[in-house]
Amino acid sequence: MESPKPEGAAPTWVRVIVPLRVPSRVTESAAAPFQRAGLRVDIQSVDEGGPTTLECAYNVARVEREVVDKVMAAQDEGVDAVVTDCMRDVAIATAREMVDIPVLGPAETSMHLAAMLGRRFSVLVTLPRSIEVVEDQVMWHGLTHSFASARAIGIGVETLHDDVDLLVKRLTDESVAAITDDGAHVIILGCTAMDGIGRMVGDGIAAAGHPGIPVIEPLSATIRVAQLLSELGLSQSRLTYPDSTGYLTA
Amino acid sequence: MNATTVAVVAPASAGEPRSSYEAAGIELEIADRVIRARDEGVAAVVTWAMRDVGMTAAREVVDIPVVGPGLASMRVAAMLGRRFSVLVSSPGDIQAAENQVARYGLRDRFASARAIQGGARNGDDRSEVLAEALTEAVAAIEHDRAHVLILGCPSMRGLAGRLRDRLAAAGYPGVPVVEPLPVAKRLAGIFAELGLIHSRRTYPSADEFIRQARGLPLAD
Repeated sequence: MESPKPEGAAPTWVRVIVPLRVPSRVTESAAAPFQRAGLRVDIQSVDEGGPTTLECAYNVARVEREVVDKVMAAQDEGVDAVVTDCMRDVAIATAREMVDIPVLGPAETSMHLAAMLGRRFSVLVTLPRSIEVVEDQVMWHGLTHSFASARAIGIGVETLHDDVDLLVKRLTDESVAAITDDGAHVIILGCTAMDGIGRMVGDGIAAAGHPGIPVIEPLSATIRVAQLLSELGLSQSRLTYPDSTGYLTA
Repeated sequence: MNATTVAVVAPASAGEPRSSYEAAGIELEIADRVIRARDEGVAAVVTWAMRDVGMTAAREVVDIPVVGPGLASMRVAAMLGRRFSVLVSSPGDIQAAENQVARYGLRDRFASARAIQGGARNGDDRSEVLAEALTEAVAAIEHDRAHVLILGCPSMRGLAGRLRDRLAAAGYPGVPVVEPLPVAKRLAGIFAELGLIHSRRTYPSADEFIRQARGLPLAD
């Protein structure tokens, strides 16, 4: 396989921006599972005043500007690509107008990956209010033909990990319902805080009689696609996302 | 640094298929070669032709990622911008690309497929191919509203960076030019490393049918 970079070259640097208030000690340890040879991942969250959930549009509006500023700062620091850590795809379109490096949202990216793996995908969100958010994204990204459904597990992001057994059970149950009732062939875990339990959910789905259903963990997948784009010299189109740095006031 | 082995599976008689008939002639061979690659222990496979010949058949047989460069490049193009155009080497390839777009549910993201004048001429003067690609790329942007370009022809292999630079010099900076094979290889490797394999619901196992075809006893 052709090596994308010469031996000894600096690893590709992908920054994950968490559009939520998270203690820095958490972001430091959270980057560990994503590190690998040739890839450097660091995680940065918004500042003290940020929200703790983006399950409502008001909180998205609160953080969008700060996320864009952090993407621009990342480019200035020499970061090769940026991923935002929330399935809302916060500030992606805006940030793409402000920087040249690839900027990826885990929802858009994982939906395209899902469409490569099977006929239709379902997205499992936390609360019912996020179902419409997913449907909006599907329409916006032109993915209607590959979309089966969005389903909610009824556990909010702030209490997601209080009971991991319950979380896996709800995800498994809704996956099976998505497969049998909605025609889903691929499952996307619809909250990046669910990353890490995809294997358990996949095993649960198989045990329920549906083997071979891919379960996508969006954050880890999106980080790898960001690396791929950067190393192949690809970034978002300036025709879709015109350079808007000229509008910055001094 | 790449411990994950990705095999590019091509037919013995090299040459991009130019018609459905030629594609049909190599489909079984590619599927069989995917199976052989799986048996040899590769982590993932890329079917070599832009038409994704053999991808579906292979996906029904093996449990490792199988990625076609057409599918991979179109999906990545859709991540990068509003609409994409595919530059191909003959008018017959235009319909093939349109068929893929329809099958993959990508109509909303598709601008056009355009054939470069000279067609597929491996080994020919590359600057001429580049000039023709530039002409069609500009036409795709101006007339078809393409925001991203895909090099869907083997004669253009390796020219993505140069075409992008020529486009920028012609007044179209920042237009991504996607080269299908490297994108497909990298994506196949990522799928393998993340444990993501095509859905068995979409691609049900063909094991029983193959056993029957070979005259072997059925399971159970």
